[in-house]
Amino acid sequence: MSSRRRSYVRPVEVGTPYALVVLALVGGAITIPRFLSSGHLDSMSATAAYIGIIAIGQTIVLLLGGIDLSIPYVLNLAAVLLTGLGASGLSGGGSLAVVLGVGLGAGLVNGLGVAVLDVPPLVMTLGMNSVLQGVSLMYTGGSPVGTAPGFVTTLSTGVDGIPYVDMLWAGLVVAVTFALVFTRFGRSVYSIGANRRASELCGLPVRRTLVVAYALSGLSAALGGALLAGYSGQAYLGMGDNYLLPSIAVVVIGGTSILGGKGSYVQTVAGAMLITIIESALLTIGQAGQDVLYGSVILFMAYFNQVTTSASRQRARLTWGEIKAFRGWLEPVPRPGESVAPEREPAVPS
Amino acid sequence: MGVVGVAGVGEPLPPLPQRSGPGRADAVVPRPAPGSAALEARAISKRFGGIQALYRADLSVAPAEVHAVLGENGAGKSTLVKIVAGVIPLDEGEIVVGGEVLHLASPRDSQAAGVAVVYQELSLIPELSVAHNLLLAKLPKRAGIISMARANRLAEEALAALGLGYIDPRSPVRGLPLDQQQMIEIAKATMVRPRVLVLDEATSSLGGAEVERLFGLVRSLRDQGTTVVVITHRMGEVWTIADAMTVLRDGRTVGRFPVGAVSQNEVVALMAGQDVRTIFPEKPALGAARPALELRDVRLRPDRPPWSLQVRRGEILGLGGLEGQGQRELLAWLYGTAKGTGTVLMDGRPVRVRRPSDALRHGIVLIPEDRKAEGLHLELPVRWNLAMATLRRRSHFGVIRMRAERDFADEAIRRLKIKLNSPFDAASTLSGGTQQKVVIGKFMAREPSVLLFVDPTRGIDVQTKFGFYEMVRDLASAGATCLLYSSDTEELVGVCDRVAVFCDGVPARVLQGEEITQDAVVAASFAVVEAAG
Ligand SMILES: Nc1ncnc2c1ncn2[C@@H]1O[C@H](COP(=O)(O)OP(=O)(O)OP(=O)(O)O)[C@@H](O)[C@H]1O
Ligand SMILES: [Mg+2]
Repeated sequence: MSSRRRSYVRPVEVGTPYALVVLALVGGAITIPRFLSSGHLDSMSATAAYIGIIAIGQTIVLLLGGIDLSIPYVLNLAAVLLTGLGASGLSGGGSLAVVLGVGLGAGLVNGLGVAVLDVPPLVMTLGMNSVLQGVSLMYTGGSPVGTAPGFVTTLSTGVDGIPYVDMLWAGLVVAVTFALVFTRFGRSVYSIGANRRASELCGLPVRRTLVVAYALSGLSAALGGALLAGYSGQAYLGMGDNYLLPSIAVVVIGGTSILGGKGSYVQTVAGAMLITIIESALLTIGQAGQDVLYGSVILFMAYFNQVTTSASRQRARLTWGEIKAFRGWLEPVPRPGESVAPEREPAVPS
Repeated sequence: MGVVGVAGVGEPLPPLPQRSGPGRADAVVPRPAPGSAALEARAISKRFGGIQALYRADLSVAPAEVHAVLGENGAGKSTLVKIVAGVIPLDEGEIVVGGEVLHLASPRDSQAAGVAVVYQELSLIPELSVAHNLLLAKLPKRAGIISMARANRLAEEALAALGLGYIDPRSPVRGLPLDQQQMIEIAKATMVRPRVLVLDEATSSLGGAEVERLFGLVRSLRDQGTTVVVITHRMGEVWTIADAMTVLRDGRTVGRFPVGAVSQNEVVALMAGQDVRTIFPEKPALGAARPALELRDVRLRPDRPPWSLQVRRGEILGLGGLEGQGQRELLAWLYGTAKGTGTVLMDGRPVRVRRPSDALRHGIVLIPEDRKAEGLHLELPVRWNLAMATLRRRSHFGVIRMRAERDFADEAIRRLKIKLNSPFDAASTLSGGTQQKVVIGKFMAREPSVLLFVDPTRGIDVQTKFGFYEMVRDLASAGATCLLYSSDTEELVGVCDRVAVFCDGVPARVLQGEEITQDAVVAASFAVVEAAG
């Protein structure tokens, strides 16, 4: 085998996003005093961990060509349940178990809707979000009560300057990466994202994979909600609203294709770091500025994916050359009889 | 095997061995005098990463000539076509059309020079209607508004000229069978009345009647002065339609002959760089083998009477007849992807197949014909593609054994002679025929007991094709039952123990033994349709 590694396909591409992380860190260090102080690094890494954990499910779902818009209220319901159940006398461990179960259940319903009833994921998960918003409101009566269990609150602290959430996150990064790279489930996720029909025809468990992926998304959103409740000690309505766009943004910034089939959770990790760094460097821009930032980032990355990574994805229908050929078609072609096919010179006998 | 594999890639290519036979210098036609050729590619080189797709390749086509470009899978034919079309840039060399050197920055430039190309991989836009696809850039307008009525009429005329009156120009391209899509591509290319028409494996999905119609069109275009370049793996077609041919091997031109000067065997040997056995494997006597697959009271189309059929263990049953008579539907129904009613028994036990995974569990596989949409994950690595249908076999509690997967894929690549740079190449970078090998390898790995083939050798070169026939016969001898639909009648005749000739969803006649000849199959195909009125 001569010259390996030239035209490798990389469903997983980690170089670029991490290079950007380093670049952003350097940029921050130059322009902002004490940007790289250990205190600030800790706080940034913890922030990255929350959004990173919330985006676990979104990564998997986007990889297989879907999307989960129910994250805000899965997260919010999880948070209000965690504090509320504690207030009504359930033990901390019990509350957490219920909360995670509810998240899993909501995701499961999403998955069944998408996989079995063929509801478009956009509609299914948006509907679910709205339903859970109502449920959260009913459960709390408008004002959440109680505080997060002690051990969940402890998670937002750290030891030796290392936040516990970062340790938890590290463990999850390893687990999720293993699942995506080394298991049949992970392989099915990539395959379905790349070509669902071909996946069905070679017997991959398409429906099951969809259901599991959405269920995991519900689970990770619920875990994120519980952790956030622990962070602020209590829960409030609307706390999930600011996590929908970021959960998508960190995935696409990491270079995962919004159309599926290409990307990885390791890239999302870089995306989470990157967005945290940028956000903290631009602290003054406020919520409105951040909304603009997230929205633009998603649009830009969607476009970027379209012209780069997914140029190869487009081959499912058109090769790159064929796209160019197609562009050629869009240009006015000289009409037959005008300049394309003029009167022929008599064929020269050979 | 000198031709395939990756050996030698990247190193300077060794000189070709001097061959006797077709390689003799006196057999090579003198090139048309410089400047008189309609299309000339001079010393074209093109490299993709580690693969030298073309190395100083020459092609010279006289005006109003039908010229065949031949070569094995991965020889560089499509690459040459794409260079001529301006789709990909060349590394070295020049393209001359009508005496002028072209500077090809995009397909527009070649179109302006009067070159029209039908690419190997279909490029119609599935969501748009047939008329839209045909006219795309030139949709007729009335007062600045697109007149679909006129567009449809124009499209109808263009289709009728190709004998495609039965295609509704208003229907979306999605959902049309591959052969019809192919004909639409051809109509699209010929509509601009090109000076040079290039057909890259345009016949690979067409049946006999369609090929005849296409050739009729090619002849009339040629008689009007159009130069036509055809690429095909069906040798018979070369001798039917072409005036001259150029043979490529490993990216280089190894011969150029008028059609009368060489035999098929010589050309095939020149393509492969060695002698190739092009004899169909022997058909053993099946005698009283038990029926392994029984179809009872089958209805593929609700308004037609039910029918039954038995296929014996070890038998290869061909599905023949004109295109679109229900052959594909039968296979799709058996695989759980199309509607139909009836009972399927395997070894006497009824099986229910509602989706492909049911079929696979019962040991039934279907080799799909549309490799882009159904057979491959184009942007995933070749290794993953090969392993896709047998993941379970190489995993342990859901965890894939990577080493076993690597060994499996390497073995498949070796056995199927898949030409690639690295097993991590995206499947999309393989040549058309090589992609087809990956599809076959993926499904063969399941060691199925019933095989459903939908035009399996579409785009596969002669040598591999005969290797494939042998593999199918070996599988049958080992007890597998095969149903083979092919658009290539020669293949049906050469490979199958029986041929069921379909008419409107029903196998109207079954030919067997000595009855199976090319003429008989073709005659029966028409006869059953006429009898049905
Ligand atoms: N975009 C690409 N990237 C990398 N390699 C490529 C690319 N396109 C073609 N190749 C390689 O170039 C070689 C020639 O391919 P080409 O498609 O021209 O073959 P071909 O003669 O048309 O074969 P077939 O009969 O199978 O269609 C092959 O080895 C192929 O893998
Ligand atoms: Mg080709």
